[in-house]
Amino acid sequence: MQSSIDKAGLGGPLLGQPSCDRVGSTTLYSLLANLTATSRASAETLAPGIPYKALVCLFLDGGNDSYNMLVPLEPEEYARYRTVRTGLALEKEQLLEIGDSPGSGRRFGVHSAMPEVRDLYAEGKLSFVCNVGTLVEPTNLEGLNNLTARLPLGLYSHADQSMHWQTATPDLRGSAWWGGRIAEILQAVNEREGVSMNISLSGTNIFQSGRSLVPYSITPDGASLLEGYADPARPFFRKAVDSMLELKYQNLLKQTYSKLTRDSIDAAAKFFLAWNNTAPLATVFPDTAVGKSLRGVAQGIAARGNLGMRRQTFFARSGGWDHHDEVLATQAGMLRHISEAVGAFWRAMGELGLQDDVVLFTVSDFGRTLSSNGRGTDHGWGGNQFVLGGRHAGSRLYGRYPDDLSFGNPLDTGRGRLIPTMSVDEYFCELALWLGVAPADISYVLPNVGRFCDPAKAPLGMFPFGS
Amino acid sequence: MTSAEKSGNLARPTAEQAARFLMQATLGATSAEIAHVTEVGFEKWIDEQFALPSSLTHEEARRVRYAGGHFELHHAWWRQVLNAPDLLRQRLATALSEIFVVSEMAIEFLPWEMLEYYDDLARLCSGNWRDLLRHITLDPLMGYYLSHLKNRKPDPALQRFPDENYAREVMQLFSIGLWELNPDGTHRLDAQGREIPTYDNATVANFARVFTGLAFGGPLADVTNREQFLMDALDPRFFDYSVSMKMWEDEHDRDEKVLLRGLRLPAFSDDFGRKAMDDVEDALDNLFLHPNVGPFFGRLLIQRLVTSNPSPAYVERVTEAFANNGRAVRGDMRAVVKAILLDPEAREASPDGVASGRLREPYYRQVWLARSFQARAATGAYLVHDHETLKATGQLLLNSPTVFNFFLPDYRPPGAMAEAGLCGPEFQIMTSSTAITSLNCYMRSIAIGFGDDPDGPHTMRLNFEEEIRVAHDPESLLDLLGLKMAGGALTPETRRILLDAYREMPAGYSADEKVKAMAQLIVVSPDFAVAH
Repeated sequence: MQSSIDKAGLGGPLLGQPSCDRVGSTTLYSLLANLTATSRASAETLAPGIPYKALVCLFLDGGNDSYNMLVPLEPEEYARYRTVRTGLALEKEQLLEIGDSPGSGRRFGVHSAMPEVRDLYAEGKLSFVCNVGTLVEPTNLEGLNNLTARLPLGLYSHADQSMHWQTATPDLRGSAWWGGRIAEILQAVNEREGVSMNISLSGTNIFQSGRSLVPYSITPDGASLLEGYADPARPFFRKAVDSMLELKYQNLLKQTYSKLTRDSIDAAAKFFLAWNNTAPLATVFPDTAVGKSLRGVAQGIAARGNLGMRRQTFFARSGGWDHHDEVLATQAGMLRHISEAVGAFWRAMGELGLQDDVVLFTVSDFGRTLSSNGRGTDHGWGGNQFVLGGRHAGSRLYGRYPDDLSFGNPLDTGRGRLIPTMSVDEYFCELALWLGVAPADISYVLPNVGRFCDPAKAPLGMFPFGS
Repeated sequence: MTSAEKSGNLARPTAEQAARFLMQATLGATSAEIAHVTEVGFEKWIDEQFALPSSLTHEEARRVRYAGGHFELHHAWWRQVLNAPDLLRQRLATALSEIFVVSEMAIEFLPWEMLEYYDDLARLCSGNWRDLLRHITLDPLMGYYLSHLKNRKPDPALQRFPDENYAREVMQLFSIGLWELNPDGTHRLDAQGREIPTYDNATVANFARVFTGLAFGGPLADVTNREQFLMDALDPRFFDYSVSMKMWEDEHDRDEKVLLRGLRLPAFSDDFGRKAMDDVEDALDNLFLHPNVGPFFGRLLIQRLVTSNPSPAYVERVTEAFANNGRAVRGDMRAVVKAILLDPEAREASPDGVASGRLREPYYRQVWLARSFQARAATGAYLVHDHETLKATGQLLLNSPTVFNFFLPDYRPPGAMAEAGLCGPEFQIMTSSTAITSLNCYMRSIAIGFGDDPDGPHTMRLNFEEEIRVAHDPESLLDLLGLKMAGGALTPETRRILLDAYREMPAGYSADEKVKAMAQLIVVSPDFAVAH
């Protein structure tokens, strides 16, 4: 499914339209566009040593109750946390203490099911991003109450909020795809065609889809080949399959099916070869769903050379976070799975020598209500995420963890649904800049970003050592 | 009736027309079933089907379970689907299970009860929509899945609020959707040209208070016993998933509630004699009478059965049938199903139409092979390895990853379809991975059958006897396979390619090998994948 991108690629309609007026940009793509249009070899010669980088998106599908993943420990703050969370409050013994950014002296607790995450934080490799969420514009309670604030469409709904997290345009539905747009810009720096730079362990997703681009989807065991297709005893089979998939259909459903099938057969052949020629990682991953997914991501990263990749995104989904019920017991087990898998992923990146070149970040539909419904929590808004690796300035809390979680606090829209104090645009802007999107191109990737920050200055300052 | 008359040619459809109809209305049809439709016509067939009682799968699951079998849910379902005569009910039950979603992924260890839910859908699909909504609302499986089971009234002192899960999803997914709709399914706009939300978070909170006080309603349920309402242990005497939930008056919120379109349910203190279930019934009426239900639910069911992109006029005709079955009854499911299947747009759409048809759901393509070719095992067992099918196709009955089903109704595949503004929900699970693994799954079923061990006695093999009889004649063979696999006939181009392939097959191929090779090529072709 990437062939249209690749062929349209450099100078074709897809990149041609929006990028014409951005030729002066310093995006890697822009530097390379004219070169690669002439020949790939010259691009390789002229851009030697562009180091490998990958962004790994870990999607906690359903809305992680992240105010129990990261809890304030300063006595007054903790007391307010206890009051608002009632029966869902974690005891101090259930929390692993960490400090806030150097100098602030504010202490927090990471859920005790996440020792790997706490250790990585302590080692300066991991940070939290606080009270981040989907916003159309900077929003406060006053604007919300007097109905002047423009709000994300379908606020508090799963389908919409998980979509907005992936598009970063909560005022529109299905308009833009930030990972997909990154690929439209950066795919050109990769050396080979046929397999998308966006690889998913969890199937189709909005984040990695562009206007005519879908992610390349694999399983933790790699790609499957079409059985019988390459069987030398049955040449008629391959010939007929090829002929059928070559037909042009007026019916766009048939045409789309045909193209997806054709592209999948071709990409699988390439991917299969690259994957099989890559040594299996020695790092042992936990035998959990998320452990297997992150093993697949790590093995996919290991195959980067054989795939000719210099810039990639990966997507892995972990499901089941919609804890209306039994949040305490269930979430603890799931956070443990996340932490163990992330710990293994970090060791695998160490094995590959890529800990500074890969960033793993979490997203989730929304935070949840601070108040309980008796057994669990309901859909909220702002929440907390974490970022690992990429030589970022770690051991920090980026953004503003609310000082006061009490009911009626200045961010509380009711039941402890908190207005985000950082937009997903700012969070993603930081990550997109790190991956190599030029500041001039950021507003193409994240159309609303200018409402929140100046993309020329990385809004969070996570990567002070250069990207 | 009017739409039936308009589309014409219904009394004596051709075999191709009958096959195409059955691809919309069933999970797989044999030559005999196709022939029957050519004799009785479409509408009479629908009447015949609705006259059949729904056959029950859960009794079989119970039998298998007590015999110590595993995967009883899926085995019982396969046995049912491959043998039961109520083809239309089975088709509708699978479709409704993707609208009123509950999932085994979140409800483990209750296979018997899951199938009972499925059977309820097969029974209620011919009744009234409001009864269907009431039934699923009070079903403890749904109560467990969307957590309104044992949902407690608010307690301000404890800062405890009712669970909003069911309240939100019953509106967003099961009945009215997010936006006010015209009868033709397009979004209504306000004076400024903006879409109009059907509800806000306050509405959700109010519905959440309606759905408080419900808990297990088994024979020993004592609705005056608060401890029983809260009880956690899994004592089967009290935790009966086969009986509708009951209402604990004292656990229900008794304050005023404001629902959709400003409907006020009075506080109990202002309405002497009011009962908690009055709130539930009034809330169900509030949903049922909302003008969105016809176009919202109608479009979802059209998408499952006929086409991903119905025209506004088609949706409007179904909305009319929902609003009034011709005898002034709203919500008559038989009228809705007839309006969907007998509509000219369902019966006459051209296979070359730019937007017509739907990508067939990948799991049900596998089911289609089994049903159309009457897969059976020597032992009479139905031990299909369905969790492998889930991996291969991304889909499995009653196993949606979330309440949002396997795919979203408005999913637009990037590329030509998105540019043309076309939806293709099923494309959301057609990834570069499942595009291939699902084909491998179908091809393996054709080659060796369904099951663990290809040579084992439990393997269910497809029956190609009819095809083998004509295997020497490629034209007749492709006619037959087109009828049974492609909803009528193969397109001329596909047919030409397959005729070439037939000629180029190794000379030593047996009739069986020839048939299987042709069938394997057809499962790859767009003619099989897209129902037109």
